[in-house]
Amino acid sequence: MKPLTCLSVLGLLVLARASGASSLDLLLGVPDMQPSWADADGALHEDWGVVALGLEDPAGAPAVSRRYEVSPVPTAVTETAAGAVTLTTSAYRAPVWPAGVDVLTARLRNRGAVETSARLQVALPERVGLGDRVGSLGARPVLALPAEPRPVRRELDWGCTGGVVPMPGWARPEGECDPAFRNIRAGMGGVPIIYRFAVPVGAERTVFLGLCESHWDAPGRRPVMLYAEGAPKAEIDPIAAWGQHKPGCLRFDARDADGDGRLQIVVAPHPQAEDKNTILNALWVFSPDVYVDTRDVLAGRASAAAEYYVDVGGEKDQLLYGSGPVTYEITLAPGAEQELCFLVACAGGSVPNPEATPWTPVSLRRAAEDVWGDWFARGARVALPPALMARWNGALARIMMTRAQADDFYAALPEYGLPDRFSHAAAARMILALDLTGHGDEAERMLRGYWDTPVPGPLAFLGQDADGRWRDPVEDPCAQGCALQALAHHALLSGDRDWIGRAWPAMERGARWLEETRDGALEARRAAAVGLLGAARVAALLGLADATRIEERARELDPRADWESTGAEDEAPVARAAAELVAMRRALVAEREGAVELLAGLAGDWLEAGALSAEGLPTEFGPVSLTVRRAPKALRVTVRLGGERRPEALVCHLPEMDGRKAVGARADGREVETGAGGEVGITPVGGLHRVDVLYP
Amino acid sequence: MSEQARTGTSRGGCAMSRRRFLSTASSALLGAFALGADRPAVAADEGLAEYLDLAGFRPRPTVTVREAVLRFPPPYWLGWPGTAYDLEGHRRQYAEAFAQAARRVGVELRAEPGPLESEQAVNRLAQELRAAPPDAVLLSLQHMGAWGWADRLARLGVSTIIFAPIGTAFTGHVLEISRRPGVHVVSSLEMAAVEQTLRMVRAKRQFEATRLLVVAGDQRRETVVERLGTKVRYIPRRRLHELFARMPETEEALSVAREMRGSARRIVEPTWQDTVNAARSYLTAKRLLHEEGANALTTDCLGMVTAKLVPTPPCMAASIFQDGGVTYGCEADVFGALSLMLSSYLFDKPGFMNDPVPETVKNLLITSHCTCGTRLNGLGGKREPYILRSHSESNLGVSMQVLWREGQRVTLVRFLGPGDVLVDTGTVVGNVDTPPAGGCRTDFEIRMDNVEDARDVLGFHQVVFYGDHRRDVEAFCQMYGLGVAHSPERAPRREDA
Repeated sequence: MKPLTCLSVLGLLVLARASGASSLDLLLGVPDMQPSWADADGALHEDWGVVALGLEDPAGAPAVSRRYEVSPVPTAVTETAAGAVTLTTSAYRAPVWPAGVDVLTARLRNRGAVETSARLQVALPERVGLGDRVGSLGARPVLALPAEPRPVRRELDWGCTGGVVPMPGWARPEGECDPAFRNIRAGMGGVPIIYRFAVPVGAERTVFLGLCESHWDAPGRRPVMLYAEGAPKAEIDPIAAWGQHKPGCLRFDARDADGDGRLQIVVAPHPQAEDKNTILNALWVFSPDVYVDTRDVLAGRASAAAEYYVDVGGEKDQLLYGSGPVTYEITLAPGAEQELCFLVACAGGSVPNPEATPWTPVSLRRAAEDVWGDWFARGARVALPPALMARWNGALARIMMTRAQADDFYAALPEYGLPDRFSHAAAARMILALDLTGHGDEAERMLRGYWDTPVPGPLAFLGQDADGRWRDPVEDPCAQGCALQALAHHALLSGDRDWIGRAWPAMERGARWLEETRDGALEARRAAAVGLLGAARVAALLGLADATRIEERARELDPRADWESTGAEDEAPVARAAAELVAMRRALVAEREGAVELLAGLAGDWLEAGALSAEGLPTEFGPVSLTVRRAPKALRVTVRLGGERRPEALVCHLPEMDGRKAVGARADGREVETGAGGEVGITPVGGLHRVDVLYP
Repeated sequence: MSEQARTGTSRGGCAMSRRRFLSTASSALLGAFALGADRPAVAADEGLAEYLDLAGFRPRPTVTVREAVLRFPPPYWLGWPGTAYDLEGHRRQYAEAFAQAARRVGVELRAEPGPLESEQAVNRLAQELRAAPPDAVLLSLQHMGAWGWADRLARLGVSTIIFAPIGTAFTGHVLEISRRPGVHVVSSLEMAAVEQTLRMVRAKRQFEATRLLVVAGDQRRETVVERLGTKVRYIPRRRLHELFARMPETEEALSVAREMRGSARRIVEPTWQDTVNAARSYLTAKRLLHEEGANALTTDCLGMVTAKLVPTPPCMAASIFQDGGVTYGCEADVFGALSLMLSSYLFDKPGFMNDPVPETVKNLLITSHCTCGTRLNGLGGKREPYILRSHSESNLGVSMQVLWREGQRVTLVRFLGPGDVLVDTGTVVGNVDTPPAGGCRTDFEIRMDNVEDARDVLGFHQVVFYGDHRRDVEAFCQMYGLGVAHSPERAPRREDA
């Protein structure tokens, strides 16, 4: 990792090295785009480097709190405090077309009783060249600064204000000319090219601008407007004036008209230009005492005599501002807040031109909320206490941000970009979590590589060999059983005959491979048995004679195997989160031996909000919807069975409420006996049932 | 949550639409399956035969426009519109006209119960607009002195339409405000213009509510286009041709094929099977939109045809989509698709995305492509005549030669990027047949307005549609902060060095 520049020794943010386990907690992204992540101190890690915000003065302490908000958008929030000033940074991914951008916001607040000044520092990799508002890494804009406030900057004697792209070797000048004509800076999308030069206040200078158009070959395509301070503006169409590949110069008698000791030169797009990308090849500034012939300038014979000679986009070029961190001096009245919003390039993208973009902090957030909101809306609708919803959605978001894809095949990865850590055991948990929460489409996508061929090269690590064995990079002996279990779960939960028909041959091959399993540790035999039980259920549903044989073999391998088992705990946080999500889902609605069980794992804090609901949770019997409402001495549980096939029984567990055990229950208005395990049973005859759980 | 999820054009909830749960009776299943005890005899792709209504994909977001009349307390003495002006009569007349227009366009118009005749009333409205901004506010003036109030309300940041019937404005009143971004002034008695402004507001919301599917490449991702707010979801190209391969020849496919052949003026190359395949392509596109929760699509059709992945390009499907008010664009051109949406949403007309060809002898622009909607006069309107042809470049499948009306005024638009729109106008001179011409099947000549040399017409994949709507497009761009460009009027002159 490249070192950052000038972090204060007084204790600015300490950047943690990217480590797999910690990075996952603060993943930022949208489904199927490479995520970024925020570390423990809120620094944003991108494919090009790290951006960190910190208080320089008063000296910032390490992060005092950090949280990861998932709804409505995965956002990393970090808070530091120094004296009366708190700095809260938040970071999330805005899915702007075409490649997204990360939004990093700093909110400073004065919690004291007197006016306070603070210095906020933005630390960047050294290689980032900063202009007025855009920081670039080579030709890639990677950071956009807010319009206000303006940072404290050190201006060099001369330079480009930035936001424009150096393109050495772009032009192909013909004839004798200054070598600078080979290079350009380009203002993509109409960004003006602006240079500033230090001169005595009010001074006059002779300025030459050199242009050579090598893209267009017809006039009218890219005329430009040229402004030299104190001189009349000029319009030039290089093709009309000189022709393609023909360098030319224009002379300006310029003056520091505003008396700021700086001479400003601007190349802007012509309003009628079809191509609004501005270009500039070379720039000379001469003292008025020096006689200069345009032909000498063009030929390069006068460059040595120039006060400033700029090979624009080439080696003799520089940005106006020195490198290093960007610092803001903020004064805050008591109780006042100020927010600064930075745009940071994410993987595969760049930041939009901040001078021209219509994106605002509000619209960026709305775009992220729209995309994530639509995605979450495709699953089952669940309403739980906030902490539980955060875990529910957080698990789903992590699965979607870490998965890999290749040409419509997808893989559930325990960590983004690390296919060598793929394991079927972990993947099975993630896929099951998607299936159980109504995201069957996503589960199906992630299962494609298990049954369809050929698997694209980047995901070949999860495919099935001809003998029925699924590949597993981590060589987990449980892999085969887990892969088969994942396929079986999806088959049974989706009930999608089209899909089952296509996936069954691979399931059958996998089952045959597992049936031949002889040795192995208990865990592996158990996983194999679980997978075979799943395959047996699918085979039974399809009416195949194989079902009996497969189930018998499963029982031979492990008589105690539980079809619903999710296996041993996984180290990978995303897999652990998925397993937790599965457990949460089954705490509400679970299936066991032909019955649907409700509230089997409900803990007391689930009812803090007074009600919870889940609509359309997939089960083998179709979608199940559930609401639970509190009353002073009762819980009202309403369940709707949406499938055509009815379970043999509906079992409602009677949870404790406020530390009180249930004393009885009514089902569909009738008193019912409570079973030994603290549950009541209903034979479902219709789609809608109600259980009233009674408390003292 | 986006409008997409709210309006139900995506499935939402548990993905159930094409999934049917297996019954408990395996014997019943056996009966439904093919033979073979050891092979799951599953009825292949039954779920794909489910009927999907094309109209359901066109976004229909809730659009709210507040309406208020601004005037001084009557009776008037001097001053425009004049003492003789029937204030109440006109107020009722315009209110009814606005309400009818809103119904036709599909916009909810919430009118103030009475005219606003005081600072207090205007302030109250301003507060309400700030607190709960509608999609637009329509201000109807009944006194020349009310422009100050209109100006103040227009500066609140809510899209503002000012209706100033003749008698309520001089040129000076409208000079600045009518060119202000976020504002549109109708100084006229033309009610159709007010209806168009409501359509403008609706169109913007439709852009926001649209998920455009780009079926190209090998990656899936979703982003949002600036300013328009349209979601653009990229999905791998193989999704389309793999789904097409599984799409059965349903009754619907056969019916569509019969209908398209039956309504054609002529059928030149396409066989019956070609037409059935083209109908399957149509069903495939609907299915894909349904599965992805999308409202529009553009595909790498040329790439699939080039690689021989499909027996027909989707030209006929795209034509049916356009006629149904749902955008199906060509060649995975995102801005081409957005331009098609512009003609569809803003004018309820299908657009024709094309390749521009210069006719240098007659100094005409020829617009050429292999697919075009037929209901060029408007969605739900009568069809222009069309001929079923093969796709020109590949000679495969079914493409559309639609015959454009000679003498018809037309508008050409093209999004140059998310923030700029190219707009030109012209008149249709005639249709061009292939042969003798090469190139695409729908081919017609346009005499361009305000363009000296047809070679200088800007853009590629412009979208052409019936009507002279230059000012309407410009109004939309002004309202929503889009830049406007036109092809150059004068041919560029080369200067002597």
